[in-house]
Amino acid sequence: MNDSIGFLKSGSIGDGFLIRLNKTVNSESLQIGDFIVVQGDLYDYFGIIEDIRIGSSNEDIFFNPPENKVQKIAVKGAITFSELLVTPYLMIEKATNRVITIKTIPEHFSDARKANERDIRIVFGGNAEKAFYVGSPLTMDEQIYIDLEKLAKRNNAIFGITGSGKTFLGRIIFSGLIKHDVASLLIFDMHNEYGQFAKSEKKGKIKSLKGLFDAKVKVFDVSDKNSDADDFIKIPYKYITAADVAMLSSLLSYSQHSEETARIINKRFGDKWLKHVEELRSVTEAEREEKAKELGVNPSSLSALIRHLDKLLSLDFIQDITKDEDSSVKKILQYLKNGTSVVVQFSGKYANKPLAYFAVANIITRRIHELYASASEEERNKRIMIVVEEAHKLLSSDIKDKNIFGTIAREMRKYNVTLFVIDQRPSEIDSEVLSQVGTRFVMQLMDEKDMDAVFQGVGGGSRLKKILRTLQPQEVLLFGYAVMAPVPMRVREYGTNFYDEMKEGSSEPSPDDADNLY
Amino acid sequence: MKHIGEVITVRSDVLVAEGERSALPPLGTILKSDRGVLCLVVSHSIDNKIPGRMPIAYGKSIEQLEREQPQVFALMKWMFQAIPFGTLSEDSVELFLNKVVEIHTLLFETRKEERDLVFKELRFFDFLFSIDKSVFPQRDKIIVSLVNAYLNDLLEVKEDEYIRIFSYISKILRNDYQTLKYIMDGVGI
Ligand SMILES: Nc1ncnc2c1ncn2[C@@H]1O[C@H](COP(=O)(O)OP(=O)(O)OP(=O)(O)O)[C@@H](O)[C@H]1O
Ligand SMILES: [Mg+2]
Repeated sequence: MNDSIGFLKSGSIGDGFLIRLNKTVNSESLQIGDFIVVQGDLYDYFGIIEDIRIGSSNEDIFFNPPENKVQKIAVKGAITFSELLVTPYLMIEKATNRVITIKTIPEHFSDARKANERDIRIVFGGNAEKAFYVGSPLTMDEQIYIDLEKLAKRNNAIFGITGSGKTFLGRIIFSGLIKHDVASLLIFDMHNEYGQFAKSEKKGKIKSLKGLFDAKVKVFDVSDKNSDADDFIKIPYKYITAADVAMLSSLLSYSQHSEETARIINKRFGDKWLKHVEELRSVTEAEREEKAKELGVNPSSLSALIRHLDKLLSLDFIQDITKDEDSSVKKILQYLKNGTSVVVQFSGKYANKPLAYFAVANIITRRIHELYASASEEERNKRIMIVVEEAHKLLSSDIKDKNIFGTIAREMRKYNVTLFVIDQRPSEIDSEVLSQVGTRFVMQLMDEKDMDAVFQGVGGGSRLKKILRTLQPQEVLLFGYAVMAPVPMRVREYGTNFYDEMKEGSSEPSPDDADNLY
Repeated sequence: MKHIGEVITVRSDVLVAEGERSALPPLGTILKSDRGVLCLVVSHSIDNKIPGRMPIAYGKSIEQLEREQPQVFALMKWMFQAIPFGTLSEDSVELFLNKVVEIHTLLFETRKEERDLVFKELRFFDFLFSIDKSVFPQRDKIIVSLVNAYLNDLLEVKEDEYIRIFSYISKILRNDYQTLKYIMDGVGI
C-alpha cells in the first residue's frame, strides 16, 4: 500500500511500537494523539501516537550539518530519522474485522499507516445498539461513538479546567442518554445550564436539555421565582439528619462541638430534631437554657449550634412539611422511575450559593437513594444517573465516607444508581472514588496533581498524560469502560445540527448507513 | 568512431590502457569496450617507451620543446588506468563482470544514454565506494566530478536525481559523514 508512512522498527506490547518514518514523510504531518495502524499478516494493530521524536545515527553530522534542503532530505533516513512511538491498544482481525484488545505484535518492518475512515468506523463506529456520536478524532472528521449502555452501567466523570468544555460535553452525553432512554438523570445544576436554556460564550443563549426534550425532562428550582421551572424544591425538616448537616460543616462554619451537639439532639428527637432547633431560634435565653438542661447539653453549645444552623434554616425551601407527598423528593423519584429526567436548578437568590447547592444535592440524593435501595428490584428497573458539578466538594477523602455520594460511587451496580461527576479538580476527589469511575472524559487540565489523579490506576497512564498535555478547549481524552481504546477527540459541535438530530423521531447518522458505503 | 585507448595490461582489478598525447580521458570518465565492458578511469601516467630510459630536464616551455626537440615526446607513451565494473547490454547495465577484457581491447567513449543507464543502477555507487582510497587517493574527487557531469547533462529535475543518488550514498557512508559531506558539497545543483 502506498499510504505507508513507515515501518515497525522495534517495540513490545508493554513499551509500545517504534515506527521509523519513511524519509518522504514529514514528521509535522503527524500529531500526538493521531491513530496509527500497523499492518500485520493476520491483524491490523490499532494504536495512538504517544510521542514523536527525531534522532540521528551518526553524531558527526552535527559538527558540519547539511546546508540546504536537498542535503537535509538526502541524509534523512540514513543518518537522521524521525520516529513515532505508538501505543497499541487493539487488534482488528483482518478476516473478520473483529476487534480485540492487544495480545500480540506484528513482525519487523510491518507497514505503518495513519488510521483511515474505515479503521475508525470499525473501532469507534458504534456497533452497539445504543451507540452515540460524541466527537471526531483530533485530525479527522470521522465520527466517534460511545456505547451509552456501557456508559450508564458505571460511574463516569468529566474533568477539565474552566472553559475546557465540560458542560457542553456533558450536555451532549446527557442528550444521548435521554434520547435513547438509557437512564433517568438527576442533574444538580449548579450554574443553571441544563434546563430550558444555557449560555454559550460564543453564541449567547442556546437550547439546553429541557429545550431539546421537553417531554422527558422536568425542571425543579429551589427558587420559586423561576418561571421556566415545572416545580419547586421543597425539603421537609424531617429529611435532614445531623449527618447531613455535618457534611456542610465547612460552609456553615460549623465546629466539631456543634456537630456533636446536633448528633445528641438528633438521637433524642429523631427526625423532629431540626424542627426543634428551628423553634429554639425564636425563644428567650431562659427557655433555651431550660431546653439545654433537658437535652443534657451545655447551654452555650446549644446557642452555638442554633447560630451555626442559622444559614441552613434560612433557606426558604427547607420547610415544615409533614406529608411526604408534598416534598419534592417523592415527586422527583416518581419522575425518575418513569424515565423522566430531572434538573434541579438554583436561580434567583440561590444562584451560585454553595450552601444551597450542596445541601440540596446531598439531602435529595440520600433520600432518593434510600427509597430506591429499599424498593423491590423491578421497581428500580430504571437506571438513575446522578449528575453533580464541583463534585470534589462531595467526594474528597475527608468526607466521602460521611455522605451518600461516596456510597453511590462504591455501590453503583447494586442499586442501579450511578454517579456522573463534573469537576475541575480531580486531585481533590478521593482516590478510591476515582477508581470507581468507569469512563473518564478528561479535558484540558493544567495542574500536575490533577493530571496524575485522572490516570491513577490506569495502565499506560503516563503515556496518556503526554496526549492530555496537548489538548485544546473542546477536546477530550476519553478512556475507560464505554470505549474500546482511549480516544483523544474533538467534541462534536453543540448547535443546530445537534438539535435536529435530537428531535423526536429523527435518527442520528447511523454507523450502519456508513458501513454500506463499503 | 575513434577509440580513446587500448588495453595493454590486464589485471583482475584494473586495466592499463594506452591513449594519445593530449587526449587522455579525464578522471571519472566512463569508457566501454567494443564488447560492452564498462570501466571507470581512475588514474593517469606518462611513461617511457624505452625501458630504463630516463627523461632529462630541458628548462624550456612545452611549446619551445615541441618546436626544438619533438623526438622527446615521441619516446613517451600516455597511459591511463581504468577499473572495469559492469557490462552494457541493450537497454540496461549489469553491475558484474561476465566478460574478460582481452589485451589490446579498444576503449571508446560512452554516450549519454549509456551513462544514464549506469546511473539508474544505484549499486553503481557501491562499486565507486569500494574503490580503495589508499590506492586511488583521488577517489572522492572522481566521484564528485562523475556525479557532477551526470547531473549537468540532465535536462530537468536535477533536484530529484540529487536526492535519489545522495539518499543512497548516505546509506553507504552513514558511518563516514565527513566524506559524505565533502561529496555532497562538491556536487552542486
Ligand atoms: N461541544 C461544543 N460545541 C459548541 N461550543 C462549545 C463546545 N464545547 C465548548 N464550547 C464553547 O466553549 C465555552 C466553554 O465551555 P463550557 O461552558 O462547557 O466550559 P466548562 O468546562 O464547563 O467551564 P466551567 O468550568 O467554567 O463551567 C462554551 O460557552 C462554548 O461557547
Ligand atoms: Mg461548566
